[in-house]
Amino acid sequence: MTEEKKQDLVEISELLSVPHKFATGPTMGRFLSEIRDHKRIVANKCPKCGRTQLPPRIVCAACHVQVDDWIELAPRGEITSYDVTYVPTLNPLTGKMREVPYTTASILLDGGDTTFMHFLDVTDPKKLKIGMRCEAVFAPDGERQGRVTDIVHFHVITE
Amino acid sequence: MSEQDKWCYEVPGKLEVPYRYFAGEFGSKFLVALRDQAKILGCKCPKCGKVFIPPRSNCEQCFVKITDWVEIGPKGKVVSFCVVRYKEPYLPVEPPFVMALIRLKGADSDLTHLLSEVDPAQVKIGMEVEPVFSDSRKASILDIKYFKPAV
Amino acid sequence: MSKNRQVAIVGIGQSKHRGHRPDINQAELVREAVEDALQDSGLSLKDIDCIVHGDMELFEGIHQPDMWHTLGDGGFLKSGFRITTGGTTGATIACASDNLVASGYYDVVMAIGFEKQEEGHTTTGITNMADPLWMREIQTGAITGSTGLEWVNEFGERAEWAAAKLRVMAADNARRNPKAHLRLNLTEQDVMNSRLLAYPLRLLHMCPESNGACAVIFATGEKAKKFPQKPVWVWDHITMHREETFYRGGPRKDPLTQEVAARRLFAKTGIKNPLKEIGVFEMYDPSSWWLLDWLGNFLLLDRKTVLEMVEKNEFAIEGKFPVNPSGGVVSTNPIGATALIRVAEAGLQVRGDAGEHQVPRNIEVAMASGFGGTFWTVLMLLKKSLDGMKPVKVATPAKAAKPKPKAKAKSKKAKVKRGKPKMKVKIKVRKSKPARIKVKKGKAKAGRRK
Repeated sequence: MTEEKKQDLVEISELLSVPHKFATGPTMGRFLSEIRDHKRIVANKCPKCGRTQLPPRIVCAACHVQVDDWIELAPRGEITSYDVTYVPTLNPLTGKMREVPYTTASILLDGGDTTFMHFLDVTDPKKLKIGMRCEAVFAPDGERQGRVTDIVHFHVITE
Repeated sequence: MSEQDKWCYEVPGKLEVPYRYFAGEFGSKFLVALRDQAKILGCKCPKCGKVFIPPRSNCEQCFVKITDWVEIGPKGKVVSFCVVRYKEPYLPVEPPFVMALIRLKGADSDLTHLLSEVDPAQVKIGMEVEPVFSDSRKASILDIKYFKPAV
Repeated sequence: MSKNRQVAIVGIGQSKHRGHRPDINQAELVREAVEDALQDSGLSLKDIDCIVHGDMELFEGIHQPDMWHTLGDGGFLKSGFRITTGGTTGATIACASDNLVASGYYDVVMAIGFEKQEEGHTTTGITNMADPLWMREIQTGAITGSTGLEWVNEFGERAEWAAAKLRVMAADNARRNPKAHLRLNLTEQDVMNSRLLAYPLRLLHMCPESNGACAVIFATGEKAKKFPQKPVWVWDHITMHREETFYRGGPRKDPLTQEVAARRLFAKTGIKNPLKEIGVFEMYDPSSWWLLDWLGNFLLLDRKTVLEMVEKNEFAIEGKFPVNPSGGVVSTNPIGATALIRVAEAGLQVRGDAGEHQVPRNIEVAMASGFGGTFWTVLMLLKKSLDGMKPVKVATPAKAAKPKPKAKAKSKKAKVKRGKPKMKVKIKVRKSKPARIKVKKGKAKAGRRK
């Protein structure tokens, strides 16, 4: 046993860091551009089953048809599910640890019928409840870049 | 530009994750011998008798455990090579440089490593080479700084 | 759809799953499971026609690990595939192996799932699966308490006790499984006092990051009957995926893959009452909250019934419907292997070879599940005997006897009988294999020209 302990066990550390460019394609591009240019949240609506997709996708996964109809949704809606996360994890897009706690939520925007995810500005679970209303807070004019972070978070409306 | 194309653009991003790799008990012996003794060790299959480098704890052909170590090299012969002339952030040195497959004396498999102190135009298959060890060795394959033509 | 040939599991192997393994590299970890499976099966590598290798991309940051792992998996000069479908990987390679053997393409296939999780960042790896333009910035891998939240909203503290009780049950089971990674001695209070990850999900509810590998050998029915190990028959399997933009939370509008997959698989196999007809269930439970939630989805029970069954300890090894006698995923989680371990453990239970964590009664049918990605589900049913299984489909008639319309009509009635002579023909073809292997050896020698 002691002999085994004496042996050096080599460990090699490496940082994988690869720059990427993600193409939006026309569907995501339109969705993100509307947020950037007009602070509008738009979904696309399946011509067959009628459900809205958010973020929009070029086909409806349920019906396998191309989705070209767009509708504007209210930048506010209802929280259907949320997570207050206390464990810091590494964000692969930045290589940095996330600051905790933070709250992510699934939100059903008024006029839509699938939820989508973003951050909430409340991190105290006692102040959160499923069914609460919230509203998008956009980054200031001139600072929006056509990215998910153009919505800073959703502000929880507490009465 | 079509109606659809006007919406398309690119978003910059990256993928950044730290990793750590364990050489294990067997692989560590090879790396520690490089670091502490500047010796190159190969391992010998008890069944087929082949000597492998880099070492492996079992022979993939006979699928038996390997426990025997033998010192190999340090001299060897160039089996094949290529001249790298382009720059990439992950390359170990500035181009142009030579990457060579080297069959060390006493080994049955080839080691890929850098070949330096030679004009790339002068490198030939069959050329005899020897390792140059790094001054600050860290139990890594780059403890062999590079190979150079044998004197 | 039915199988061309019956398929059986003829060998099961696992490494010892641990949190820290600086003593071995990845290929050596794979080898531990492969050696264990070969030993269990009584076969040698020569008997294996094809290797199906699975792990999770980005977890160790090795591109094409199957190439390096050939050292440890015995894949040298054999057919091989790498399959990586996230959390479901282990279950997908089991399904793929079943398909490869059932189709008639290979007679014996070894599925190998592996993960050396301490070498990378698990949650970061999972986060990378998400759409880079939206979800990647927001989601945090598999760490979510939202399911638990629904339960707490509906049942209050009673739900928290139930989740904790399931975790204690898993720990009790894991202590009876020498290969399990976490073999803890826990109380419900320990679980409820552990660190919060995402309310109400706590550290002890969540699966660990393990280093481990699992290997399962699948063979044709004909060969399985001749091999030394007791065959465990692969009854059927189902895999079900869905898109990532589904409705989350609240009164669910979208059906869950767990439920749809279970309903379809039960319909295919004629299972009417899963609680009675299935003897043990090895479920992929990434957290005790999901175990609590999905039990109802898989077994087609409402939440209240599940809650009562948990409270009455009915999912324990000695209980009415044993779930995860191995200790489950919350005890052992080398992700690429995790779902294959479910199949392996279900197989051991059918064979009666699970040792200290063996369910103390005859197991005729066992079910294993896999979970991953955007709520994907894989289910596999294993069986002790061929009784009640659909007969194999007659393969397209061999070249020798030209099929007449008559033959077709016959085939419906005498499926199994007609299938058998076909097998014999195939085995004859196989007999030429050793000769081929000899040729290979010669080639290998000749190959060392230099």
